[in-house]
Amino acid sequence: MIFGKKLIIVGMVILLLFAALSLSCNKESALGPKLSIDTPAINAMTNKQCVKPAAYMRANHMTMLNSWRDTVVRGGDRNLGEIDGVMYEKSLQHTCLKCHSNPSEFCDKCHSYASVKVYCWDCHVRPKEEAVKTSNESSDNKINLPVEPKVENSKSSNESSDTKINPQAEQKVEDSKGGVKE
Amino acid sequence: MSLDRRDFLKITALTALFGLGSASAFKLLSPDEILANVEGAASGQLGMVIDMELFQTPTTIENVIEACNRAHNVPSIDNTKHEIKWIWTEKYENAFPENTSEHLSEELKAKPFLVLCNHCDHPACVRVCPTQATFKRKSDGIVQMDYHRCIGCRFCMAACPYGSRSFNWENPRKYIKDVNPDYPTRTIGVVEKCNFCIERIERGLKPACVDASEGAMVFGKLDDPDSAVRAALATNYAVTRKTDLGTGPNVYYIIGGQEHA
Amino acid sequence: MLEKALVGSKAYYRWIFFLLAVISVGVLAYIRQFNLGLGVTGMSRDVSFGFYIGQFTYFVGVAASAVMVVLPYYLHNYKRFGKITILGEFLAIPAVIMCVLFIFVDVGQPIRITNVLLHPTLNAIVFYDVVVLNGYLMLNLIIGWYMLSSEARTVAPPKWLKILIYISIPWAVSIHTVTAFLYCGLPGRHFWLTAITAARFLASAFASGPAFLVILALLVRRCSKFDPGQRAIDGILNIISYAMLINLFFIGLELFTAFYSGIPAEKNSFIYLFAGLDGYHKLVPVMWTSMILAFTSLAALLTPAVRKNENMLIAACLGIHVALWLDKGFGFVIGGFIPNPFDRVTEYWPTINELLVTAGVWAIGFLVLSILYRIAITVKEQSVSTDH
Repeated sequence: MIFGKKLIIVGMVILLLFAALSLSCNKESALGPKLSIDTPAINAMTNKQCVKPAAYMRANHMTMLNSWRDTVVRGGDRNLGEIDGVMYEKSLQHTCLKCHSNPSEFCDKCHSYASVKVYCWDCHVRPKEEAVKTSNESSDNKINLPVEPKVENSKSSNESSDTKINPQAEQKVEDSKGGVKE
Repeated sequence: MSLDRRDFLKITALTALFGLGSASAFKLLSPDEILANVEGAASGQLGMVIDMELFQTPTTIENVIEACNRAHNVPSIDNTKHEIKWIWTEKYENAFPENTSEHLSEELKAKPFLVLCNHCDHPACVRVCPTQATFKRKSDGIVQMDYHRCIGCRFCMAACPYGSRSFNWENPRKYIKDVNPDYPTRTIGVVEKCNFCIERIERGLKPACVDASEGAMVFGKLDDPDSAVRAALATNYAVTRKTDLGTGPNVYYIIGGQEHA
Repeated sequence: MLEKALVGSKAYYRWIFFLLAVISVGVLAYIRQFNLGLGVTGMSRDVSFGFYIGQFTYFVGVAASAVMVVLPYYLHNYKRFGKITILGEFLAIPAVIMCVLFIFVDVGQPIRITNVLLHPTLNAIVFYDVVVLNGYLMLNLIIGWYMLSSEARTVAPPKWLKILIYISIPWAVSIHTVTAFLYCGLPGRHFWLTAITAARFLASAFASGPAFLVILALLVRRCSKFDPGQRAIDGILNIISYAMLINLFFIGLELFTAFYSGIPAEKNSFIYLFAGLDGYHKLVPVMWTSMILAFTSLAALLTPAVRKNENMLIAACLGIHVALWLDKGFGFVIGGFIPNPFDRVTEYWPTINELLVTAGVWAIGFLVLSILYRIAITVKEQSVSTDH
C-alpha cells in the first residue's frame, strides 16, 4: 500500500514545516507596509487631503478607479468636481499620479504586501521617480494624513519621513482584491 | 430529504449555470450600461475634411503624422506585419481602390493621401465587437476604444473596410523611444486606432493632426451648417472612402486639381 | 461510468501518454505565445485571423455533422444508425471543445475572455456563437451520457431526453450557420460577403465530419469487439458523397458569380488562392492539393470497388477530410484577407509556435475523443456480449 500511515505523517510534517517557513519569511512585513506620501505636490498642500478621506481611499480606491475609467472612457465625463477650491479631473495619470508621484513608495508597497498584481502600468505611464527623491529634505514638514488615529501616532515621531500605515488597513485591502483584477 | 452525491452535483451545476445566466441578463437590462454608451461632452457628429490641395510640402504631412504618434504614444515598429498606425499615408490607388483607373494624372498618382479612422455613422467594427470595447459615442459620434475591455479577438479588424485598426502583436512599449507622459500607451494583445483626439477635444483643443496641418485639415461638427467643415464641404467637391459600403465615413477628402483640368 | 476510461490495453495507454506529451508541448508553446504576444504567430495587421480561426471554423463543422447520424436515427427511426449514433455524438463533444480552445488561444487578452459574458452584446455574432457552441456542448454531453448509461444499465433512456434530442437537431445547424455569419456580414470582405457561405459551410461540414466518423468507426471495428455495422457505414458514405457533391457545386456557383460578373473585388481572393496575385502565391499549392484531393476522393467514394476495400475507403475518407480541412481551415479564412483593404497582398503562413499550439489543441481533442470512445466501446461490448 503506497498510502501508509507513516508516509502521511511525514507528508504532514513537511507541510507544517513549509507553513512555518512561509510565516517566518513574512516577519518583516507582519507589521504592514510603510507608505510614503512625501512628494513635492503633497508637501506643497496646506490641507493634505486626497479626493476622498484616506480610509475611504484605502478601502475603495480600486472600485473608484474602475468607475472613473468607465465614466471617462465610455461616458466622456472627466470632471470630478471641486475639492478645497481646486477642480479635479478623473484621471489616474493627471490626478492621482500628480500628487502620488512616487508609486514605488506608495502603490507598490501595499500591492506587493497584499500580493495584488495590477496591470495599470501596462498602459499608464509611471512618473519618473528620481526627480521625487531629490526633494527629500522638505519632508521635515509634518505629514498630516487626515484619518486613522494610528497614522497620527506615527506622525508624532517626527524624524521619520515615511508615514506608516498600520495593519488595520490590511483587512480592507485583502477584501477588495477582486476589484483590482479583471 | 436524502440527497445523494450525484444529485447534489447536478443541483450545484444547474444553480451555477442559472446564476451566471441571470447575472448576464441583469447586466443586459441595466440602464447604466446603455447610458454609458450615450453620454458625452460635445454634441453632434464630428467630422474632418482633408484638403489635399493645401498640403504644400511633404514635411507638413510628416509633421501631422508625427504629432499624432507623439500625442498618443504610437510605437514605430519596423516589421510591417506588426505595425501600429493611427494616421498614415497611402497612394490614391490604395486609399480609393474602387475609384481608381489607369490614366490618372501623375500628380494625383504621386500624392500621399492621409488615411485614418473614419468614425463612421454605421461602424462595422462596433457592430461586431463582442464586449462593446469599441463603441460609438452618441454625443459626438466618435468611434472610441475602451482598451481596458478589449479581449483582442480582432473581429473589428476583419470588419473595418478601411484598414484603420492595428493590433498589438508585441509589447508596444519597447518601440516608443520617448514616452509622452500625458497619454497612456497600449498593452500587448489589444486593438487600437485613431480616437479623433478625444482627450484633446474634451479639453477644448483641436486634434493634434489638425493643429499640425497648417490649415489643410479642418475639423468640426458635421451637423452644424455654420461649422468650418461644412463651409469647406459647401464650396468644394469632396469624397469619402468606400462610400458604397454604407458605413457612412466622416472623413472627407478634397482631391482638388480642378484648375489643372 | 468514467472509470471505464481507465481500463484499456497497453496500446490505449501508450496512445493516451503520447497525447499527453503532445499536449504538454502545446501548453509550453502557448505559454510562450502568452508571454510574447500573438506576434509569435504568422498573423499580421493585414491577415489578422490565421490558422487558429481556420481550425475553429473547420471543427464547428465537424461538431455540427453529428446531426447527420442523429437526424436519420431519431427523427426517421433509421435503425441502421442505431449503433453508430453514439460515436457521432461523442465526436461532436471534443470538436466543440476544440472550437472553444481555438478561440481561446486566438484572443490577445485571454484573461479578459469572460468579458464576452459580462458585457453581452446582442449585435455581435461572437456572442451568439459562444452561446450556441456551449449549448451544443451541453446538449451532446447530456444526450450521449444518458443514452450510454441507460444502455449500460439495460434500461430505456429517460423520456425527456427525446426533447433534448429534437432540440439538438436544429441546434447543430445553428452552430454552423452562426459561424458562417461571423464572416458573411462584414462589409468590404468580398470573398466572405456571400449569402451562400452558411450553406457552403453546412455542405462541407456534412462531408468532412462524417468522413472522419467513418474512419473512426472502421478503426473501432478493427480494435474492439464493437461493430458499428457495415450498413451504417454505407449509409454514411452516401451522405458524404451527396454533401461533397453539393459542396463542390456551391464552390462552382461562387466561381461563376465572381468570374462572369468580372468584378475585381469578387475575383481577387479566388485568383490569389488558385493562381496567385501580384506575384504572391503561397496558398496556390494548398488550394490545388485540396481541390485534387476533393475530386479524386469523391470519385473513389462513388466507385463500388473502393467501397468494398476497407483500406481504400479509409484513404478516400481521409482524402475528403484533408481536402475540406485545407479548404475551410486554411484557404477560406486567409483568402478573405487577401487582398487587404488597400488592394495590397500580405501573405500568411503559420509559424512553428502556432503549429505546436494547434497540435496541442488537436491532442486535447483526441484525448477527450479517446476517453469518450473508450467508455462507449466498453459499454457497447458489454451489451454485445449480453445479447449473445
